[in-house]
Amino acid sequence: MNREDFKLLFDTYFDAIKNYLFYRLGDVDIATDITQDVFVRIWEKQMNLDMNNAKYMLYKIARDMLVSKYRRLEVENKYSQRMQFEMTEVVETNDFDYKQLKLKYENALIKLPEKQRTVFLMSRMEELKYAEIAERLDISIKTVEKRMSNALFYLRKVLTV
Amino acid sequence: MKNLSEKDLNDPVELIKKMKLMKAQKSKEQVWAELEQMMEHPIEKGAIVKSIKFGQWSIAASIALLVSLSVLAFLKFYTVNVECLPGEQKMAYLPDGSSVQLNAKSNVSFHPLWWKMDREVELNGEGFFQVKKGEKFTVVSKNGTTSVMGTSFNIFARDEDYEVTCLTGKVKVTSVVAKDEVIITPNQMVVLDQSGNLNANLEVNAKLSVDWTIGKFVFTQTPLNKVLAEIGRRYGVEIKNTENLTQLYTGNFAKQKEIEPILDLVCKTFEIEYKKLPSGEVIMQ
Repeated sequence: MNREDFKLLFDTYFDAIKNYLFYRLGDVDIATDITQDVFVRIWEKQMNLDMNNAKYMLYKIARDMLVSKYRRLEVENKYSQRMQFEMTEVVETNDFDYKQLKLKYENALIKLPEKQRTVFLMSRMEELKYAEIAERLDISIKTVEKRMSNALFYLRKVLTV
Repeated sequence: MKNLSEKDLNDPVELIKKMKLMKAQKSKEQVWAELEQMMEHPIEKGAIVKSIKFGQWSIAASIALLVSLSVLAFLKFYTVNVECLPGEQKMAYLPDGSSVQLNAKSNVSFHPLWWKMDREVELNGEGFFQVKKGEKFTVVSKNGTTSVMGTSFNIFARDEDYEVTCLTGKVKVTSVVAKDEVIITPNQMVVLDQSGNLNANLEVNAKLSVDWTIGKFVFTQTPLNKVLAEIGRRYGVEIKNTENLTQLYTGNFAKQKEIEPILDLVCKTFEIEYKKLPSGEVIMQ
């Protein structure tokens, strides 16, 4: 893999992998660090990734790294009191009701089982299709649907006033 | 929440689309810069290997050998021991899914990590084995060895006694001292005699031999001291002064909550008295 290919791979997938890890962990800095490690490994091992199999491999390496390197540190307990987000529409951030809802949302998300949370956020934040999520996570579409509907059921219950 | 827009009020879950990730301390650009650094100055792994001088190879090799030997030894000798105290009964499961029900004051041990190489179980006391079909293994006790293949059987191995009763399948029993070998099939039993030979008893009701698993006592022409020893074990009570009680007893009864009714029943047959001490021990008179 030459540098141009590597740069292309990085530019295309850095955010996707970082987001994915964030959905699972709830901490954006650790997610960024692991993502960096994922790319370091690809370069050091000189893995021959073309754009066809790259997506699958990247998610797979990210999953493995998360388990082998960071799970042991019990990152979850230490950091993820809630998922932290920013609002895109700046005006509304100051609105009290929105702040409340956002806080409630962040708390609800961290309580959601990790697998449901990951699928839900990939679908809603990145607007990926179910088939696309299934491919990236190496699970069946049926599983994606199930996790999604469970997540929605829980979130509606908690968030609906 | 009156300030929320109509849409967000109806389905607050959709609010996620207005959210984005917090900025990480390290931006994408910074990460890329660090990756470029790494590409230009790769860690020279090859150099480290080359710097090991020839003489050091033997040290490295012996360390590797030592490590692999100790791993091997660990795999071989790592032992799981399931112990069943007096007054208890317990189930033990073997790595292949076979089960052993242990009677009071018995124990089995085996090497789970070495199981694939050597399916061997050590038994002290009494156990009822139910072996998964297709699995072959060997149960070793002090006075005898039993090899099995997909069957269920009961082994009684205490002190000098060694008895194996077959319930289903086929069992091969080998005595340790005389190297005597007997194969038994359902409803047959082997008993080790004092000279170390195996005597097969070809017609027994094998079910009776595992009645202890459902809380029963079954004795057929059993010397009284062994009867009392079994009762003592099952209740976790020490019964003393039984050495001279060699009368033969035959009887079949269920375990009860207290030991006294059972002792009364057995002792009455031979008109023997017993005394229970405050410490819980029982002394035969």
